[in-house]
Amino acid sequence: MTTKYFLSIISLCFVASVARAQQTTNKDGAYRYNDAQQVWQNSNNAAALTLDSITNRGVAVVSGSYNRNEFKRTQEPARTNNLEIFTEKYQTIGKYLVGYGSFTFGMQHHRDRTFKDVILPYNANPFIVGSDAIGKYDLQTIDLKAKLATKLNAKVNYGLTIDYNIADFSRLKDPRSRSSVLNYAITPALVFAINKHSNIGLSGYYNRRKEKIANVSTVNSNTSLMYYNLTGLEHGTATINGFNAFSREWVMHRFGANAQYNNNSQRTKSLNAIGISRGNEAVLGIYKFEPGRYVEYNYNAMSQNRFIAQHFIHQLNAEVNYREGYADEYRQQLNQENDAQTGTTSYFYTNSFTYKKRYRVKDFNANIHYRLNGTNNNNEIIYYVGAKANYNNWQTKYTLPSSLQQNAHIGASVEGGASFLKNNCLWIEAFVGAIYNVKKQLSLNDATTTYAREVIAKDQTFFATNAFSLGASAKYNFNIKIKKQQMPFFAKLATQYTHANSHLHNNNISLTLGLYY
Amino acid sequence: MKNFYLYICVICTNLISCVNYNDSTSAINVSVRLVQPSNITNQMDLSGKNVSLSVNGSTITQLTDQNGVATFNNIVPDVYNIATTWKITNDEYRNYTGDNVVISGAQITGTLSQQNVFNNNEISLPTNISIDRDLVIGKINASTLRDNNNRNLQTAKYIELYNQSEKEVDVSGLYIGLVESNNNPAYSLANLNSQYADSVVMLKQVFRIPTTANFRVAPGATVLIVNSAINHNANASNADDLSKADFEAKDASGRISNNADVPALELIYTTNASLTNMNLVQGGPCGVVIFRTDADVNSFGKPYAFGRTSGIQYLALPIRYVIDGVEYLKNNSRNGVDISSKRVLPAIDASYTNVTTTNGNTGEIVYRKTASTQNGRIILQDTNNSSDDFKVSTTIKIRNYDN
Repeated sequence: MTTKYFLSIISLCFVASVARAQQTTNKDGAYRYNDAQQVWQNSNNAAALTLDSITNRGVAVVSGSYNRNEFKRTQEPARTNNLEIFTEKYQTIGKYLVGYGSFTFGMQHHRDRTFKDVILPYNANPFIVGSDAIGKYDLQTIDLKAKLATKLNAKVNYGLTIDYNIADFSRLKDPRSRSSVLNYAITPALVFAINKHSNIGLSGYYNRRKEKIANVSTVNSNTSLMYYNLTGLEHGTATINGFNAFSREWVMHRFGANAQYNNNSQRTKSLNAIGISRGNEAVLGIYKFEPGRYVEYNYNAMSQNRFIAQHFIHQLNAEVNYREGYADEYRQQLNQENDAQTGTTSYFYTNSFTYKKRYRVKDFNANIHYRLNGTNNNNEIIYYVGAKANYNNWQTKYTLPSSLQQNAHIGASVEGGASFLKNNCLWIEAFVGAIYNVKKQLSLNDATTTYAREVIAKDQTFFATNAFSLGASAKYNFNIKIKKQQMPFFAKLATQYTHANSHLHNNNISLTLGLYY
Repeated sequence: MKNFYLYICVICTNLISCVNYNDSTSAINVSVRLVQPSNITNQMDLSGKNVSLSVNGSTITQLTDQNGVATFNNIVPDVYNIATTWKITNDEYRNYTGDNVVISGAQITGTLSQQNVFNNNEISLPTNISIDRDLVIGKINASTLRDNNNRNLQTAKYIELYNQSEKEVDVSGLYIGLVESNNNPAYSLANLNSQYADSVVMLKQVFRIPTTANFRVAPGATVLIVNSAINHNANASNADDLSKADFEAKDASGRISNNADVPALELIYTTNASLTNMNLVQGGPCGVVIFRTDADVNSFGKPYAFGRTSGIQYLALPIRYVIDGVEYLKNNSRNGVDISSKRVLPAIDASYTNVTTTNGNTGEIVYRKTASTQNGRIILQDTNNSSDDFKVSTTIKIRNYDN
């Protein structure tokens, strides 16, 4: 029912956008041109929507893809079928407001997944659960983003971003879990014009994410399936049919703040931003049982730079992100109280002991991206070349007893694309990249447990393996006449191949149909 | 505007924090002091005894010093099972107690189950003395398993006794008692202490091998007591052939197939008149005791559950008659075994055993481990602590034990 409701909304948006298209028709090169000039849109400050070049434009996309992965983490699927519907729109609203909205609906079918029944990110909250039986999963997601900014002729403009995401993650084989996610964030912001060329922005946000498994069921009533409750690295419990009467929810409250500084000249544009956030995630089970809680700090710095020449746009982006988290682990005791008068029995847990900061994670990521875009006299991008470099270093640690896993990688890639044929309607793009492990360490207190052997050790092999990737796509833009208007559609076929020096490889192929409006 | 920036700085400062790990939980040092059994008045030598801390299948063991204290350094704070056990000879038992009845020696055991070990404190471990037994409970099969029609097979349950002495044992007149199996114990250990001074165990059923059976069990042989003495292997490929059982608890209702060639177990007492066979609860609780007495069992007290004046009446068996007993508790899916549901006194069983599943529908059998072999005869482990003495298997066969 929910899926049909949102699909109906999308259909309405599509029709509405078609009706307005006669005023806001854009093509691929022009869309890329507008995207390339944006700096504020890459921050979370909605108030500065008007400071980027705002043209009423949008795109609607339907894509299907197939992934086949041999080179992967153990808890990732070996094969994925994906369907995604995406649309976004920049729109001036009246005289004083500018808006941006996007909607994404995704359906994924995962095959051959194991040991993780939740959508929680990796190397974060350690209190995850899962079965060791390989199974199929279905994942449905809906993402909504809405930004609204004022366009006042004043020193200060205001903005607001609302992010809303729901997801449903179901396991299709015994033991059958179903995880539901509700994730929303509210980000008020303001931007202050220091002078004609410089602006300061401030944004703060509150994000709440809740993921819940209400129960785990089986179709086969005679099962002897292990269910894993993990507490960090290889530690945790695994019990036969441990999913009976199981329920759990993870509730994250995150507060964050960002500051931005922007400087513009006739030919240059730069945005430098810093941000911090703190998240606190509670984990609750039946009768409010708590295995522990997770706390996370994020520190972020970003620089977006543009140099606009007569026929070029230079993009130079750099970003550094540092995340540090820890988990307290609880020892709890089940108590029961019998009410002699009513005859009812109530159950509750009390905390016997807290292991402070027993699980720790550190994750450092730095990346830099340069792209040279070639433009024509119609303000359209007609080709580009670029390069990226990335460094990532992460560590997870469990104490009492001590276990440690650490890996560091450097990655680099080159990219390029160019348009061909009449009206630059055919885009051919390609990239080549490689990732190289520069540090690896695994030291487990007990390497003999099933989870240690089947997940952590195999994942360590994955992280220690170097790989290269290459991909290519062909995108053809064409017009279809609808209601006497030429509507700019496009079709894109893309493929990607990854090869690891362990002789494992991944394949991806996707087909996308879209419309610019 | 200045105040605005100040507020922003205060908010940012509160959010900025490099994590301080100085308050992280660290390892602790724990001492365990042995306390000799209360019925031993002479000072025992408590030095050089093994004391173990166990949690999640891992065990740390230390020896006690001359003061009977075992020190564990640098251990993880957790909830541990603390245990000790050692054998004493007949002479030592006589010296400690003045009692001459022991012929096979005795065991000193002490157990503290699910003990919070969270700080650098000294823990006292009380011990009990128990005489080595000739006849022990070897197996309890209270599980169901899937038959060839994918239905639960309930009737292949059994109890098996084992003679681990080097003499023949006549089991005629031996009583088999099934401990009450309410989810909330009819009498918790605290209730048994307050009302009965730790002197009884509450039973829901009592059976007896007929006094005229003249059934002599050879050294290393078994007594197989079943609910249905047929070949269950025909119905379920992994079930046992019980057609050669030694005794059968006959089903008066006729719903369960019985074997006329297998001698009947006498039903002496039951809390439910419609249940004439052994009510072995799959998955537990399913405690069992074996005992001997010349007294009239039906003259023993029959109390209601603690605090009640109506309902089910249990049989209060004085523990002085008990030869062997096993506490078999239910494995709760939420938090493992609930130690507060223990209902068999530590003098009979210092701890408990359990199957690994929560519903008991996987054919798991609890059976006694093999301690040693003497002249080809298996000696089963008997430390009066079923947590240590028993293990679980879905493949162990009747009358067989680990070599």
